[in-house]
Amino acid sequence: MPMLQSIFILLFSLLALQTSDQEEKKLPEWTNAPAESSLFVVQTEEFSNHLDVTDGLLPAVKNEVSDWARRTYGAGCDQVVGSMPLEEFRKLIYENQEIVHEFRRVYDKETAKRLEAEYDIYYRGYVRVSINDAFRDQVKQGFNKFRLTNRLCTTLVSALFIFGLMGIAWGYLSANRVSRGFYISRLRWITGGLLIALIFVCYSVASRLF
Amino acid sequence: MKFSYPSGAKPLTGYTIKRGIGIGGFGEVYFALNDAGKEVALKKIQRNLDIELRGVRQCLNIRHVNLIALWDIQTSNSQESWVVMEYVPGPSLRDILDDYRRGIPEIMLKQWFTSIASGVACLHHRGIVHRDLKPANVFLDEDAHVIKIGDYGLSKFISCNQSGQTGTVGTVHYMAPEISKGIYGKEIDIYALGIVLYELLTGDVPFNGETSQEIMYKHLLEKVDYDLCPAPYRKVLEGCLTKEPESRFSNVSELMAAMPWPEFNGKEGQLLSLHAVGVFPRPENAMAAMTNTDPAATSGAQIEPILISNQNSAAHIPAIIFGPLSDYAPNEDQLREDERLRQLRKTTPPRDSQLDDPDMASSIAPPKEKKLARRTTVVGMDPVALMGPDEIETALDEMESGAGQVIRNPKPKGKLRLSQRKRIFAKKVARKIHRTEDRFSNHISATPIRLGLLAIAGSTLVAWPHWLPWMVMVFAVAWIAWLLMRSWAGKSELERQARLERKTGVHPNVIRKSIEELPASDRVTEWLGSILVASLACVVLCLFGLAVWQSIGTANVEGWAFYTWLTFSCVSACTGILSTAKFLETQTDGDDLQRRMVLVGIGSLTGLISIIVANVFLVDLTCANFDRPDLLSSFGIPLPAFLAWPIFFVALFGVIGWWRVADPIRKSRLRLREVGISLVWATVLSLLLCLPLVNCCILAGVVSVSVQLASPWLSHARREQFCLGVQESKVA
Repeated sequence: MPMLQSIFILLFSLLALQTSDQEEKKLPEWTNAPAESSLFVVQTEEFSNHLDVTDGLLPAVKNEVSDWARRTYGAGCDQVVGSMPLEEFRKLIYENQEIVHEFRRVYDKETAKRLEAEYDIYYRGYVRVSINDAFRDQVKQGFNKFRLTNRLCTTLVSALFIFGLMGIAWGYLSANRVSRGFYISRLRWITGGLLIALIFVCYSVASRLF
Repeated sequence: MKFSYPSGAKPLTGYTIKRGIGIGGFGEVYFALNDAGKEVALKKIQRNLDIELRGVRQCLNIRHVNLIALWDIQTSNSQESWVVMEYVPGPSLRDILDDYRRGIPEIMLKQWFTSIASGVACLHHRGIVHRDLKPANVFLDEDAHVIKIGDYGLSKFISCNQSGQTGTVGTVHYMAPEISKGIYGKEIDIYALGIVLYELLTGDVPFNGETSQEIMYKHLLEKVDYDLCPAPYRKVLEGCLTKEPESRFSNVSELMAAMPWPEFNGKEGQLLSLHAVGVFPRPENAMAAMTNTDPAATSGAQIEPILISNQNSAAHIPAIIFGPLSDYAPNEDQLREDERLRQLRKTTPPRDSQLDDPDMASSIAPPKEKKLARRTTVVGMDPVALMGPDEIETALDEMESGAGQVIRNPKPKGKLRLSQRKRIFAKKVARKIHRTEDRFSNHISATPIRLGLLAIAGSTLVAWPHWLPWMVMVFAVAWIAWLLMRSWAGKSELERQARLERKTGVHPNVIRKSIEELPASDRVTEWLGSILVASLACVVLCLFGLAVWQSIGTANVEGWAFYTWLTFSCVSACTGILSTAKFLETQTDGDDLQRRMVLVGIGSLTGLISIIVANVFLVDLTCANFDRPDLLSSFGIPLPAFLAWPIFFVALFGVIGWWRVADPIRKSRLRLREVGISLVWATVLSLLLCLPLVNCCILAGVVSVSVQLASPWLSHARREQFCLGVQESKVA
């Protein structure tokens, strides 16, 4: 058995040496194509294995599309894109232009000495993304909804504050009129307290909504 | 009105202020407790210190059951002068008279008037003239069952030559004519007693006016109209209210002897004693008195030796036995009779409804036939107290049969042409509808019922929006038919106004002037409150608008954005209308065109706000994004929404008289007619401008309802009180 294991290790080492000696594959032309408004290339980070690249491909697309949305529709839209599921971005890959590129990174002498290797194999994913009209509409709708929700929440808090303020002012004036100014100092204290309470309520509501 | 001292203050050693009671011409009055816990009234003398103190000093030692006792005069550490008085919580005779708009019942009249007379007689006996005798200065002490005269602030010794009085004293409604000449004596109190008696009998003072000068002028020159008073009292009133002081009753005893009460007959110049006049004995005494039929024994049991005449003899004491207040609770028959009498008295026109301008009065006067009939009724009604049961029955039947006093002649139907008969019929129907509307408008549940009807209509609209055009059309047809019938029946605007004045009893211009005199802070408070209520009403009512398009429970963001736009538009419209109405409510002779121009400006501003809000909330104003199809018209001008909506608002504001809708002296708080007119006009506009019908109608309807609910409204009772109160404060 130990004999068999040593043979396997030897074979594996030979195979690895053979692979590392292979020539690097060239990137397809579309990976260097200039970016257009709705057609651009997304590349991942460098990973040491193929599987990590595959996993990181769609998140990279999502980040890039978020940037595109922010540039196109304004701040806040990236949040809308960010909240979309990853599977939505798979539909954006243009004509199956999706590759995992394997490349060799040659180390300088010092690093090679330290790592005891002259080079290493890395992988990087490339994908060409096309923003179609359907996705654009989807983002637009989502962004509108997001903006509307934000504005409605702001309006709700503002209305609460303004109506509260008006109510307190009216209550103060009415009570002062009814009491003929007799309890004016107490009323002022009560009004001050109510104002603070109103600010606290508005703050609580706002912190819940936003 | 602000008091100098708050609750708990101790401006005077030994006394703790509890609350302010009132502010008079001479200073502030507080309810206070002394250190032992006794309730007192403290009067802080701020103005006319010498006059006031002199008056109070003369009265310090007067003790009479019908006079509020003045206990002490004290000076505080801060050198303020205070009068310590007996505290009588009230109610005052003014409060009582406010509840009896057509005069108080005779049994109460006896109690009040004899008590007042007793107190005044005591003052006169001490050589003091009250000078400010009026219902607001007479109080009922419910615990002690005693009526007391208060406010000695103006009391003063009568000078020997009865002259030398300077300045105007008293309240102008009760002011004798000679006061303006500066030469007067105790006759001015007799005059004031006469005015009080007149008011007790009729519920109103004989001379009224918009300014104190006008009232004073009437006191000097105009004759008193005694027709409204029961006949037995006319002689007494004439004896009190003659312009020449020397022709009046020379003293209170003489006055009381002339009263048509058998207890006082032939008692001229005799005594008015403590318990004989104006005192409400304890129940046990009253019962004893009632069971004892011997007048001498009765009087002997109750008479106290505080007398105001020089003929102090128990044998001459009038045997008037008053019971406690509960004893005066009338039985059922009496109540029924009182109610009838009150109803009959109501048929007489109130004094205030008589217009000051004779031209205007003649222009709005009803036809001769009506006038004659009314006068006949008035003459017939006046001595109503003397009517027999049959006469009352007849009068009631006439009244219940519907303006029986107006139409008395038999209708010669056969001899009239068909068109005349139709016109008479139209008049009858119009009158009937007006009367029903008047009665219902005053009803306490009128507004809730109308709100309920509107809620039903709103729910119907939510469930079946396609019914809306039919609902509006039915209303429009009914409204046009009503207008045609009313114009055919000869119902003019002037008649309507005259009827309104008769109904309210006060000329609208008087109320507007009174409103104008209110403090600015009060009006600002009212305005703020109305805007707040209108906004809340819009927030609630606009939910109907949302419910038409989406279910409220499952509404999405777009639905809520639409709701926010609708609410914003309605709130801005209501704010504009209410602010304009607040500004215009005091205008007595405004130009309608000018008002419409102001409203057009407000409308354009509202339209602009509406468009901005729609852009902010990304609202599709055609509502095409909602699943439910709207009832869009196929004709009209297809303008873009940003242009059509401002035009809609301008037209909505410019055509409808919103200042009338929000008028504080409108007929009733919420009128469905106004809502209907708004809906009809909104429908027309939506058809002309190709706007969504439902949205236009909801917007107009919500604005109309919210404005009516929120704008201040004076009920008919309140506007009389309001007017009276302002007049009194003006005089003070």
